[in-house]
Amino acid sequence: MPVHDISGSSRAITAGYISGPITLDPLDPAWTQTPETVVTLSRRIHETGAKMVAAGNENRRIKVKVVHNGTDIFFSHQWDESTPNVMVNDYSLFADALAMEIPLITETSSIWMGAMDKPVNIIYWRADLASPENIVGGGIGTTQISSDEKSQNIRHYQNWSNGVWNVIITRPMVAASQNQVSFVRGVTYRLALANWKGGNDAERGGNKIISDWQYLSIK
Amino acid sequence: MVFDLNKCIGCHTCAMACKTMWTDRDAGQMHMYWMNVETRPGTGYPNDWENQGGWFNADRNTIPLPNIYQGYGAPWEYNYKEVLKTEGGDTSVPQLVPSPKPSEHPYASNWDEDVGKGTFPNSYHFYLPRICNHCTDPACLEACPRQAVYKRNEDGIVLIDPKRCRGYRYCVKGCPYKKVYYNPEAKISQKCIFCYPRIEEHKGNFCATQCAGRISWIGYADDANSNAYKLINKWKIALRLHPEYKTEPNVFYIPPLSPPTYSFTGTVTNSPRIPIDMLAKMFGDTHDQNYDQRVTRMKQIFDILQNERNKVASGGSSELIDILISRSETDRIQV
Repeated sequence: MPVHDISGSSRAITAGYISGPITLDPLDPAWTQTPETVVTLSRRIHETGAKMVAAGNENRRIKVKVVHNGTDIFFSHQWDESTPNVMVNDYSLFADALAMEIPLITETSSIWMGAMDKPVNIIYWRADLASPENIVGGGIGTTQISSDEKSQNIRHYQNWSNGVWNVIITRPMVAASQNQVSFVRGVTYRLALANWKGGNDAERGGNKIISDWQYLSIK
Repeated sequence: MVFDLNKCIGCHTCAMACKTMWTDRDAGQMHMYWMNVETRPGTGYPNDWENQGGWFNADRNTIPLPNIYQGYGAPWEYNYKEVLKTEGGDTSVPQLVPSPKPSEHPYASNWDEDVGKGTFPNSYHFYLPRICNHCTDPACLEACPRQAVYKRNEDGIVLIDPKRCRGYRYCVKGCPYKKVYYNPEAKISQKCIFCYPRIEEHKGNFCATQCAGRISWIGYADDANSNAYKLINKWKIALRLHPEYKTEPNVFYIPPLSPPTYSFTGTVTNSPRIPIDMLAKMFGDTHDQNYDQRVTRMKQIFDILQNERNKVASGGSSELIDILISRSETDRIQV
């Protein structure tokens, strides 16, 4: 894959390299050595007439840090949420969620869940799930949890305190199967984020806020 | 499928058959009755479902999602073990009592059984069994952004693919009959499957075969030899529940006859106890029929039923009455 010229771009995220083990812990010293990028999420979609995120609530910012040690890659996300929504155990309850989307086999794809000939790989975290899901999408309404167990190898840390969600997601850099992106040093990937506030008008599915494509460079 | 409301005795055998067959006591399915029987007039199940709206007949942004306890009711437990002394027993507990106490939790499925309306001697009620209508234009299917809901080509049964469903609950909102349920344990939506494994073996739905009143007929809409077809299209005595919801239900109801009311002075009137007005607001042929047309149809159906009954009462025969009596299961299950 070519390396994009992202010099000066506000949409550049750098995945720094740290030798040695990194723990799934917000206090791991690796994070202090990792630059932070603030990703703005402000795009809404309209899906089969379902409600969009209410206007006025569409501008969100997620603080992103990405670090790797050549074996595993770690994504840290922090965003404001005054009231966490962590349960889906009744009809009216929806949980806070976060997803990152990366084109799976092509350099770029449709930001709207990819396209049939240009699928995307999605890592989906939701506050009530035991672990984040590895998903493949080929367009709106087509996303599917990848059925091979090998690709469901994503671990996470989550914590909400003082009005802030902190979600760290980690995965081996090498794809476990064809349903995952491999993260290769020296390569830049397109990456988009999505955010759902479960308590805000039952955000789920297409009722969410997404970012534009960001550029993730693996150092 | 056709339900004859004149034959439904409100025994709930259908609901229990369905419950034990498909949802039982599984966690997450306790509150679900894919087949339920409610009393009319009444609030129905889930509570007040007729006022919640669906994908084609309401503002999609304001359709509410019920809560399990308030909307579907507590899963009552009774102190059988104590009273029946199956585990020792306790003579200080002489009667069955539900838990939670109804006084603390004033709603459950079939909550208003037999309450009805009207004052003696003109009080009235009837039973309304309800399954998924397996609509021709399923609002649940339309509402799902993931194509998790589909309608089978071979028999029109509407199903939710559990592997596609992500528990968004747009289908719950979308169905104006509130016949799609959310399983909070499995985190997906679920509904009546029209007993498709039984249908594939040419057996009837379990709710129908277990029905003590033999109130239902099952057949394909294009099979002119089936009794369901004859009741709907030939004799034209079966109507859709709330066709104004615009989903084209494929479950039909023969509306309930009722005895005439008594006047204040005790004489018999010409008005049935179950008001035509109430029935016309519930049942009709198509979504574009107006209220007056529905009233006319209701009276027409009652006339047809009365004429055919008179024929038989005077020693004649009637194909319609034979179908309605349905002496054999093969008269009712034609799939």
